[in-house]
Order: sequence, then structure tokens, then C-alpha cells
Amino acid sequence: MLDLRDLSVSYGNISALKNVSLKVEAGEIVALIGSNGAGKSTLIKTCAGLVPPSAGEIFLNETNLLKQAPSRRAALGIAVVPENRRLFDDMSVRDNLQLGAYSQRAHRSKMASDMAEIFALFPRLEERQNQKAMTMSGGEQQMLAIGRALMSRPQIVLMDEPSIGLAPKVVSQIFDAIVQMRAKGLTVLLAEQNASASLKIADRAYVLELGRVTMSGTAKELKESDKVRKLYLGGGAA
Amino acid sequence: MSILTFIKQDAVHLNTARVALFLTAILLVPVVFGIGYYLNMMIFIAILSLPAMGLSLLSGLSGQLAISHGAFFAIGAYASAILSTNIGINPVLSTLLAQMIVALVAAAIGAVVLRLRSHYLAIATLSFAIIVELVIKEWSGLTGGMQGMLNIPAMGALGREATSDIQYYYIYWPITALLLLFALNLSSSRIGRALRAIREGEPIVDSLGIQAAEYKIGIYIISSVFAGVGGALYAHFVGFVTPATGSIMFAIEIIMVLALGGFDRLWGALVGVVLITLLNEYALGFADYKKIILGVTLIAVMLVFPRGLLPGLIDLARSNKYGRTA
Repeated sequence: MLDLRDLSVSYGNISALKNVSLKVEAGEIVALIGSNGAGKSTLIKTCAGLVPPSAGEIFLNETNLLKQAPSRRAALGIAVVPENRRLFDDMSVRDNLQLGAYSQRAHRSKMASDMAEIFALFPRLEERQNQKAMTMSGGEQQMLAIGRALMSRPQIVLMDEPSIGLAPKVVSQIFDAIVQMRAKGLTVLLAEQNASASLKIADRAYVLELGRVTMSGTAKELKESDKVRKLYLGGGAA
Repeated sequence: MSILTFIKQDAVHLNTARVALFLTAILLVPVVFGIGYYLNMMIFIAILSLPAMGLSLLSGLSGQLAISHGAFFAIGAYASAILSTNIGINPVLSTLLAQMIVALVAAAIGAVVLRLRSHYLAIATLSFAIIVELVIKEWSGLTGGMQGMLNIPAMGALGREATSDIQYYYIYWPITALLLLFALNLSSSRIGRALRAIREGEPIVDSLGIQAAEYKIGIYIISSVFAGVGGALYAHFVGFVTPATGSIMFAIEIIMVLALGGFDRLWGALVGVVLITLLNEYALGFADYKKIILGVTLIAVMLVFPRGLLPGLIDLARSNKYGRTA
């Protein structure tokens, strides 16, 4: 579904991604693991059109994404859960969700039922639907950012560190929701520092180090690899 | 119905009820107080509320101020005056046709200047206002130059023209109320929500599939047409237009209205117009100092209450009541 071919991105003289090739097939959860500064956010921003690549191609199904304006990409079926959530703080939960439904894929007639589905996934959002986004806890805000992405009826959701700064219990709630979303046919690319939680739900994974893909394989293979265990899973305790 | 279906229904009902109540009260005023000179002042309030509401829509939804609302008031006034006086189109039709001209000019200007942010937009629209004023003064074959245009037909159509203040009062206030209702509903609609999101300036807006540029040009056109309608109603009420109609001073007075009533409140814009009108009416003795008084007041308000005097005072009253909220 999503196909990155030899993608390179640089900020001035500093190169952030070097010849990254990565594939996500329909219905998969693919984890993108790496530490701070590895290039995870850059990769997601490039797919969303917020950062221009210096070389390479990105295909969504048969469409060359780099030829599409950022605002067109939502219509093609890409949704982003950005780093730090980027909610509209001063607007209500309901308004934030509705703001997810402006692309051509979202149908106004289905907005109410789409929102009901999101409320079923995250009941807290329904309880707080009239509250301003900024008054909610970090976990609730992350749920809202995911809900807003789902409102565009995407084929694939790109998530940038949804677990950051959240308590383990909240992280597992959110990751459970990601598994439920996949069960309904959604495809997910999950960029995470939290390797143990993301490898638990992912089918496959890529390890990104200093802008290069250094390992890739099924989640099981990576969980069992010595290097991943040592660097990302905290010694031997997987 | 289609425009209403995607607006929160409860918001529409509330807006409709409030505007209906407001209009009823306004229409009862002559019944209670009789016919008098104050009617004339009230008609000007109805007219001036239009550019003020237009600018309030723009600044409230997109967070930007334009200095072009005087120019669009002038274009609306002159276009309708020329169409009705020189070509003989009836004033109702010429008022509507003038808005098409206003919308076209606003679309052209908007496409160019809306790439600019904050005060750059103000400077660009100021240049546009200067050009419009120059064109009106110099193109005397069409506009009458410095003399302006006289004997503009009274508002009306099919041989029925308004002849007295009370008739204008009952024609103009419903128009103003209707446009107020439209503005309130627009603000709580899907379009208003998108514009508020764009105003927050997050790059995520693009990724959500919201076409920011189109929304910004759209609201600029709508906002300018409000000013254009005001101009046409003005021309057919007073019967003449001059280069002073919709001058840059007028544009600044509209900004002053918002500084008093609040930069993001449509009802506040109405309150601001009332305050400015009273100031103009009862501070006539200070006419020589009017520009100084307005300028100093504007600076003072902006320094102390950047959101506008009325919202600032409301916040102040609240914080005194509940203790400081910082």
C-alpha cells in the first residue's frame, strides 16, 4: 500500500534520511523503531508532504505521492497522527474530530456514524466531547489525535510516537485501540521509541538509526535479535 | 436547507432566535418612540454595521485585519450609483449587481494579498485602498471626480421608492439583521470551524485535507461584500457619493468600531457602531480634534485591551468577580 523507495531527506547540510526503502502492505501494522533523532518523524512528515525529500519516491498504491499537494494526500487516503498531537487546543473535542473530516474521502452524511465509531473506540472522548482539547490529559489528547485522523476515513494512518509521555496503562489502552482499528481493515505505520510495546502489536518492523534502515523483519524476528534486545528492549528482558 | 444541514442545528436555532428578538425590538422602536430625528441616526447605524460585521467576520475567523473595507464600501456605493443613475437600472437590482463587482475585485485582490500574513496584509490592503481612492478622484468621467455623484435614485424598484426615513428604517434594518444572522451562522458552520483551525497556523491543517488558501479567499470575498452592500445602501439613502465615501479614514473608523466592540464578536461590532455613531454625533464640537481623539483612543485600547475594549472590560469584570485568574 505504502512504498518508500530510496528516500533521502536533508535539512540544509544535515541529512536526516539516507536511501530509506520501506513497504507497508494493506492490513499490516508496521513498526518503525529508533531512538531520538533517528529520522522517524522526518519520514512521517515527508509522507505527509510537510518536508520535501532530496531524492527518492513515495507511492501510495499506484499514486506517486510526491506529485500531490499535502492537502490532496488526505483525499488519497493518508492520515497523520503527528508528533506532539498538534490538536486545535482552543476548540472542543467534537470540533477537533469534525476537523478531521474535510477531505473528499469523508462524507458529511457519514460523519455522525464515523464519530460514533470513534466514541466506541475511545469512550473518554464521548464523555468529554464539549470540553476544550487543551483541558484534557495527555492520554485523552492522544486519543483525540488518533480519532481526528480516523475521521478522514483513511486507508493508512501514520502515527508519530503516540506513546510519548504517557503512563504504561494508557499506552496499552491506545495500542489496544490500534489493534482494533487494524481488525476493521486499517493499515498502520507506527513510529515509536517504545520498542517493546510496538513490537507486541506489529506484524513487521524496521529499525532506523541515524537516518538509515539498519534492520528489518517480522516483529518476532526483531524481538529475538540480540541487537534489538540490547539497544531497544532494555538488555535481555523482552 | 443544504447550507443549514452541516451547521450545528442548535447554534442555528439560537442565532435565529436572538436575531429575531433583536429585529423585533428594533422594529418596535418607532412605534414606541414615534418618528423623530433619531431615525436618521439609526439608519446610519444599520448601514455602518455592515462593513463592521464584514471586518469582524474576517478578523474573528481568520485573525487578520484588512484596511480595504472602506474601499469596498466605496466600490459598492459607486457601482450601484453608476448603474442606477447612468444606466437606469433600478436600485434594488443595482445594489445586487454592484456586489458582483465587489466580489470579483475582492477575489482578485484576495488571490494576491492573502499570501501575506498579519500586518503585511494590512499594508497591502492599505495600498489597494489608496489606489481605489485615486481612481475615484481621477476617473471623473465615470465617478464625477472630486464633485462626486448627485441625484442617485432612492432605494426601491418597480415604481415604489422609499421617500421617508421611516421607510428606509423598515427596509434597511431587516437587511442588516438578515446579514447578521448569515454571519453568525457562517461563523458556527463547517466553514467557520475550518477558518478558526487555519488561524491557529498549524501545518497539520494541510494534512487534514483543508484547502487553506480557498477558505481564506472565500472569507475575504464574503467579508468585502458586506462592506459593498453597506456602500450601496448608503448611496441610495443619502442620494450622493463623494471621494470621502469609504475613504481610508472611513476604513480606520471601521477598525475603531472593532477596537471598541471586540475583534471577534459580531454583536460587539454592532455595539461598536453605536458607540462610534454617538461619538460622532455628540462630539461635534470637537470635530477638529476628531482624528486625534480617535487615534489616541485606538492606541490606548490596543495597548490595554488587545482583543478590543468590550471583551477586555468583560474579562476585567469577570476577574474582579472571581478573583484574579491570571
